[in-house]
Amino acid sequence: MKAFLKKAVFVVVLCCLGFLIHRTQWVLDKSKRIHFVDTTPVFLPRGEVLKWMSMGYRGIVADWLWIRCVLYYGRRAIDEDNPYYIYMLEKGNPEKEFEAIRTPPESKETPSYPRGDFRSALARRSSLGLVDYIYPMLDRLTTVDPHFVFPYIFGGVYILIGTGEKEDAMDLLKKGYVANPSRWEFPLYLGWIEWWFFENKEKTQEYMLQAVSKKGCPTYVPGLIVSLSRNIGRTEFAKLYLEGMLKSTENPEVRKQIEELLARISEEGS
Amino acid sequence: MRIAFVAWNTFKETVRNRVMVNILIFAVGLILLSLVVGDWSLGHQVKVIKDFGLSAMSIFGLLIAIFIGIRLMVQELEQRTIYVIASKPIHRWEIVVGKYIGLGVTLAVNVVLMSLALWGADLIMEGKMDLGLVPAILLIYVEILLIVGFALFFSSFAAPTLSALLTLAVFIIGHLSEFLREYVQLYPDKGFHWLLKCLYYVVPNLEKLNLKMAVVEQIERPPHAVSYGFLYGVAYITLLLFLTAAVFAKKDFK
Amino acid sequence: MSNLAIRTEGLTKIYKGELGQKSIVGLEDLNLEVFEGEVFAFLGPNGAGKTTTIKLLTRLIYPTKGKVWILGRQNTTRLSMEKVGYLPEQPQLYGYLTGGEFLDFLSRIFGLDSEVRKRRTAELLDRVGLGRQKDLLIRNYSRGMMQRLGLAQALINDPSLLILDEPMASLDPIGRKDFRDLILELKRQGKTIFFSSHILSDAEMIADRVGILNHGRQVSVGRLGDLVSSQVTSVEVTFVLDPTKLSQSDLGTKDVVVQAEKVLVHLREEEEVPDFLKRIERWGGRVVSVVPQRKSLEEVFMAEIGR
Repeated sequence: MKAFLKKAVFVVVLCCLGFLIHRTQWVLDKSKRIHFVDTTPVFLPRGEVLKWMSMGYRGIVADWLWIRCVLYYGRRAIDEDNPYYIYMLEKGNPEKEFEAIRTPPESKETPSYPRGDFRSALARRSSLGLVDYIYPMLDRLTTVDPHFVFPYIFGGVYILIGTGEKEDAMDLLKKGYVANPSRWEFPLYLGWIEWWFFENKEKTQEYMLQAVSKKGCPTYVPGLIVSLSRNIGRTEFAKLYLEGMLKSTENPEVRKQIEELLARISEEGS
Repeated sequence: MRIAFVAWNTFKETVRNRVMVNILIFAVGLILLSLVVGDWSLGHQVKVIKDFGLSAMSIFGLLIAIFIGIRLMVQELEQRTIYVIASKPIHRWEIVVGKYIGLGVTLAVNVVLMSLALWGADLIMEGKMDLGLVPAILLIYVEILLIVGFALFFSSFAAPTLSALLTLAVFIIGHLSEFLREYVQLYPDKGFHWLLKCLYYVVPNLEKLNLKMAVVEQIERPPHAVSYGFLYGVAYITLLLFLTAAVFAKKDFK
Repeated sequence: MSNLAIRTEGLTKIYKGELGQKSIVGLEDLNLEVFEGEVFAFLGPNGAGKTTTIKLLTRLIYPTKGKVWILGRQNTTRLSMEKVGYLPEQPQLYGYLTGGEFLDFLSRIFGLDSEVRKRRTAELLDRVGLGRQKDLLIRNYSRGMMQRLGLAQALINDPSLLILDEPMASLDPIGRKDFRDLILELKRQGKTIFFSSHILSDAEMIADRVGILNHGRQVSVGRLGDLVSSQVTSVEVTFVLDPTKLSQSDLGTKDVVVQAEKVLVHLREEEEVPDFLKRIERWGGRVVSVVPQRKSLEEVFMAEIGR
């Protein structure tokens, strides 16, 4: 009986202590909300150093950096201040949306926009941390594993759309092109940036011609080159481009977004 | 044939070793974990699984090489089990080679099991088993055998802790060897240049046995990368076994 | 040399000191001969060099100087160990194997075929009393079991020469008796047994010849009987004499013990005996016994090592 009581007391004391630990931690957590700040790029060495530190495990180190980027982007994507998130919410006039993304906020006076307007988010984008985090991480990642193609496109296209940082995007895509000269994606997206952000048709054509010469290049690209030379409007160019992308994309979520964009462009056209 | 008997005996010893089994279970678990981690890679699960799998194979092979490869010789000497076998009509070099082959066979079994786990994960994710990984797996196996060779060599004359540190140092320097080669080109000064070049050729260049990134991303590689890499590894291993046998042959078993 | 199982010539082993430390002479100029078919006991205190000698014979260490012949063959090649069985001091065996597996492994080294291996493994395990523990992992063996298995492995190749280092050290009295019986049986089969030991009584019971080692040098060697018999310490003479006549004799009281009519006298020198016997006759006494007192092996041993 005594032995049983001893054991029972022991178990009760353990449970109480466990509960106390849990409760105090819960109270402390409630009193202070976590403010998400990720300073990883500041503390990571340069890409060249990381490459050698990886010691033959460059693939997995690059994967780790990539996953960090994805998780960071995912966290920011549900943040109210994220312009891409707001853009998806707003579903306003597609022409105006593209225009707003194209024009860097620095070149304008800083108007005050109502809360929820993605343009206000763009105006404050330097405080979002996306650019400060993603591009340095992608730079390190692509130095460690220069043949991991998607991160270049992620930074050169997706993040560009969200932030408008065309210089960073171009630098990244050019870096990828040097490391992977046989890939068609790099000259194609470089050409797109030259067209969309710099309106440099000659440069665009030059890049697109390079893209066409690479193995696996989508079949819509020659059509784009031809239409460039015919000086068609931006909307029509965008429509051709999106139609081409739709044919070459299998990911259902990406297809849905492209179809929505196409639908808006077609409405505007009609 | 005596070598075969020693090898079989060593195989039994390593297979009955709990450390080995635990490391293997952990490796297989990690490979299967990559199925979960891959989900965070935004559509690159297959790449993550393959990178994880090949890296796990390499890292755990290294751990086995250090923990068990060193133990193989050191245990015999410290526990004096060597007295019974070395006093039999067997050459000492036969003992060394037999032990090496025995551990090599065990490692081969481990690599095959880890490969099957990797292909299993690949099958789940991709619906097919990528046999293009075989060259990388083969060279990973050769790399592990090379590290075991160093472990055995160091443990034939150094204490266990020092042997482990030296083996780890060889692994690190071996992977930084490519950096050494680039560094050599930066320093045209003859004296220094000559020394670094000597060091480069003495230390094994483990990057020559590293095809992990190349097979996962299907990067074009030189035509003889696998065959020459294999030959390089085997030649180095043979040299190490010669040196180990020479040291062991002259050793007094106190 | 053809009937010598072991022969050494100027065998020397100097252990080089670590940094800054002096070298240690493990063995110095040993000239040893062990004849085929005999039991040779190699005795000496701790650190005398017995294990060093045995390791030099079995190729576990290399001599600084000198040569060794085993069964007529110089022991520089592995073939010299083909007909040799060796039992190390406190043998450490592979814990991950069973007794049966261990003997099987070693018998393969000797190139024995499958049938012979199976038979001999079973026989030897039974012989050393481990027949029932055939499938027990060695790591679960007791000290005594380990010693028995050690002896079994030394016999696996049916050797002509057995070299045993402290073979009875870990055994209980029954085990030691069994071991002694086994050694005598092996001797009857014509095998040569060379063993080192601290237990002098065991050596006295079974050895034909004895060698004594001290500080790396051989101080004494010879047949057991000769070593012991050559050292007569005194002669004990017992005689009967009437006490009244005893008091009138010139016997004196030194080294004399009297019990009723019996008188026991210790004479220091063997040469005094004939003269003393005449004196007893003169006194009218009757001699009962004359017993030379020889040194025991222990006394010989202690004298040789200088204590």
